[in-house]
Order: sequence, then C-alpha cells, then structure tokens
Amino acid sequence: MTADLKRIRYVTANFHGLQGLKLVPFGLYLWIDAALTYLGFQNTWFIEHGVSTRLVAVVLLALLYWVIAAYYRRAFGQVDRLPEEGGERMFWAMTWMLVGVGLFVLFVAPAGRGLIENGRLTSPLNVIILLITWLVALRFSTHRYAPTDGESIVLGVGMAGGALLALMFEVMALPPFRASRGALAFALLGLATFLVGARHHWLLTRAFQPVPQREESDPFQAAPEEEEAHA
Amino acid sequence: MPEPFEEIAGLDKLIHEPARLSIMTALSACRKADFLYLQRLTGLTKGNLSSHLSKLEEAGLVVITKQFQGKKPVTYLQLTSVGRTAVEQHWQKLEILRNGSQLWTEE
Repeated sequence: MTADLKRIRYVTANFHGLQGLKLVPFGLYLWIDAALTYLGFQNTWFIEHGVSTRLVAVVLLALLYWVIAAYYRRAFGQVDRLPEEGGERMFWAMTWMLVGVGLFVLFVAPAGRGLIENGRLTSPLNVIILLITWLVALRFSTHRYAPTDGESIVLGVGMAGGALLALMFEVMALPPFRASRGALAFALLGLATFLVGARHHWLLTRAFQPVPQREESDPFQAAPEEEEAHA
Repeated sequence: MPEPFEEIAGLDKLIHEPARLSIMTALSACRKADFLYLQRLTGLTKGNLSSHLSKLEEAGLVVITKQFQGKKPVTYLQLTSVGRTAVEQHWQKLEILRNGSQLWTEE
C-alpha cells in the first residue's frame, strides 16, 4: 500500500482519537485543579469554595468541549467508525492503561524517587530505567502513522511525564513545591495532556488537503457543482 | 504463470483509478463518512468528488444517503457489502502483483 493510502486508512480509522483539541478541556481542568490546590495553601477561601469553583469549571469546560467538537465537525467532516473496532479499541486502551500504570508503579516511580539524594546520583540502574522509559515514550510518540492507536501515544507521554514527575518530587527542594506536590503533579499531568492533544491535532491536520478554492475546468468530468446533486 | 499484462488487465479499472481508490480505501476503514470528510482527505473539488461517487454508486459499490442535521443537509457515503469485498479483493490482487514482480527472474 502506498504512503498516501496508508495515511488515508490510518486517519479514517483513528479520526476520533486524533481530534486532539478535545483534550484541551481536560488539561485545563487539571491546571485549574492545580491552581486551586496551590492557592489553598495561601488562602482558605480557595478551600472553602473549592467544590463550587470546580463545578463551575466543569460546566464551562463541557461547553468548551462541545464547541471544539463542533469545530472538528465543520472543518473536517464526520466519520462513523466500524462497529467491530469499538470493542477491540476499548480492550487495547484498557490493556495499555493497566500495563502503563503497572510499569509506572513497579519501575518508573521508584527509579525516579531514588534517583537523586542530597544532590548526588544514588544508582546508575535508576538512570538506565528512566532512560529506557524515555526511549519507549519517544518511540510511541514519534512514530509516524504507525499502526498504533492514540492510546499508545497517551501511554508514551504519560510514562515520560510520570518519570519526570517522580524525579521532580525528589529534586525540587523549594518550599512552595514541597508544600503542594499534588498541585505540581496536576500541573504536569495537565501539561502532558496538552502535549498529547497538540500532537494528535497536528497529525490530523497535516493529513488533510486544503479545500480547493475553484472548481477544475475538466470538460470530461461534467460534474455537478454541488453535492446536492446526490439528493 | 500468467503473463504480467493479463494480471494487470484483470484489475478493476473502476476501483484502480487513484481518486476512486482513495475514496474506497477511506470508506473501507469506517462504517460511513460524510462528503466534507472525503473532500478534505482527498483534496478533490466538489464536482470531481461528486463525479467519482456517482460512478461508484452506479456500479453498486457505494451508497449515498442524505440526512438533515438541524437545517443543514449532510451527504453520507458508505460502502456496500459488494464494494467492501471489491476493495479487499483489489488490494489482494495488487499484493499478488507486487510479490510476483519481486520473484520474477530471467530464464
């Protein structure tokens, strides 16, 4: 199969997963949560009104999600995926998620946490484990039109972000960060969400052709001007 | 072993045309897609795309349906079972041709 046809097949099969801007509301929520958690250490108002503020944020972000979905529908059209692929896709997404979390708990987090103590490297093995994690993440997130799903990219960036997070927990010695590690974690997860979304959106947009501005004057086509011809 | 041109001549020209092969490939990867999606993906003009879709519809490979989303008409394209089989067989034939061309040696 030629590269063009591979591109067509890949983008069509993964059309919904590649609508990366839809991840923006999720990333924004993580950042809002991070900000509220951090500000809660400075002012009790943010703790007292934390639930109501989050609820308002959820409603506004749901609205934003709806607007983004409408943008994709108007700009790129609509695709219904094959029914048999839905279950299989969900199975692999769940499998990858479980494997990713398992790997993170078993290897990445301990390696990151124990990497540096008192400004010195504790174990070269931890460095190797983190390096392998980054390479795996790189392989997932940079493979062009590979037969992998968006979930694999999420896993890759997630593992890389997790490794960075675990490392930063140990290295960050500044009081504001140490006092609000949860906020930092949410902020970094939000950043990872934005990066994944941006990459998906980029993959999608570069796969499409610009809409032709003028009809071609091909007398042999004798084509109707509007798609309404199919009515 | 059949002559190479016999095999090439056996390819379905209706499907093998590049624009129509692109359309059929896209539709084979989903249940259905709308007109705008195919236009953006292939880069064809509305007229050209309509023309190719009409040919595929006439051959019974594609079903064209029109629905309203609110007040806006949306044209959906879907492969028929015949069309899905045809595009799969077309790929198989191309694969056989490709493999055959790599195996051939001068006697």
